[in-house]
Amino acid sequence: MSKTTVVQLVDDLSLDQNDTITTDKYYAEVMDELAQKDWFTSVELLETTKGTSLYTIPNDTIKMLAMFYDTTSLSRETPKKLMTVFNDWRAAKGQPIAYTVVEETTKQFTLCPEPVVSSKDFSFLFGTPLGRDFPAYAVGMIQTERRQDAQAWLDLFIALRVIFKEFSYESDHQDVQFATICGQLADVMEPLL
Amino acid sequence: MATPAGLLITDILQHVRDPQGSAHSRSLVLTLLSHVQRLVNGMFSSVIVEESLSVEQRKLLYSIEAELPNSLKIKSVRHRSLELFESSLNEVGGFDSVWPRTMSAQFSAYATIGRDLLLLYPMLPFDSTVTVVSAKDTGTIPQESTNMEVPDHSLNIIRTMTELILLLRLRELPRAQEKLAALQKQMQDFVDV
Repeated sequence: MSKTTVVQLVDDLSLDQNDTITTDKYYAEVMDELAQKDWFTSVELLETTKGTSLYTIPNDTIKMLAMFYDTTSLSRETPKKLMTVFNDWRAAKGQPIAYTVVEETTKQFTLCPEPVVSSKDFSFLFGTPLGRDFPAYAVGMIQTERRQDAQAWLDLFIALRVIFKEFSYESDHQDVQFATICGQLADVMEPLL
Repeated sequence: MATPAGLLITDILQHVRDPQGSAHSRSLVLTLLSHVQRLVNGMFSSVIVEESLSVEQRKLLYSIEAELPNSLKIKSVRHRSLELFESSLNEVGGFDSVWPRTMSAQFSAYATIGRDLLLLYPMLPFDSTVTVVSAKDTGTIPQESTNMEVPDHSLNIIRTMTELILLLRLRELPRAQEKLAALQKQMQDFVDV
């Protein structure tokens, strides 16, 4: 498990001067920051319902990189832009061509126009939801997401980032110069990873 | 000439003035060498691997970690004898708004989305195979007698990076700062033969 290895590396490299609770906290922060940089990606399939345009974004989603409805790639638009195409975009019905997250409550998006057909069953006869089993009229979302673990080869890089955070901030084991050099080493690696 | 990990460990411990391995155990240094070798190969792709990926009909998106376990970073993809054009998700969406369902008898392009997803475009109406060339995950070095996988001209960077980490561990910070500067120079000057 990647997190276990990262924490072990932090322990080893800091000669156990780190604090378990803060190491855990900074690990989660580093993983969130890497997700913001589009490191951890996945595809999510969402069921759609006839007459429903508002849908919930999965909890672990950090950024939506692309969305497609059935055969069509959806563009992400602002309500202002949608008003230039539809007089009353919230009332428009038909095949979705766009989606918006502006003016929605947190973690929701609206399809525009509102779908007039529900997605087919999410039963994957061939075990290939993204292949021949792809349910018609469903939404596919390519996203960056919050992860517990990264790929194992990145463990040392992530450990250096965690050490930078933990030893930079005020604590009984603060060591700014140590933290800085660890951070600089991670900075040197990152563009090449 | 292949270099056993043990020889490198002895060298490194001498350079950090711990020839007996009192402050840094040989097993710790071996663990660090494993991590550093993986990172360095991820950065410079000195060791590559070719893997066959079974592609399913009507499927565009593949999990890199699940389907290509030895891959750190994809360098190229071939379908039959054709080298696919390297693209991006935005580019594919830009020239084909119905890319999720466009079909052809031959792949023409691929894109990596973050570190986890491989997009092969357009989809095929039948099952097939592609060859994926990647920087290889060199994995864990099991024992000191195991040869380093990266070629000899990559070993200087591995040696310097490992020494830097050991110096940081013992908070020999002025020496660590000098070692970091040396590492940056080595990385800038590195040319994979």
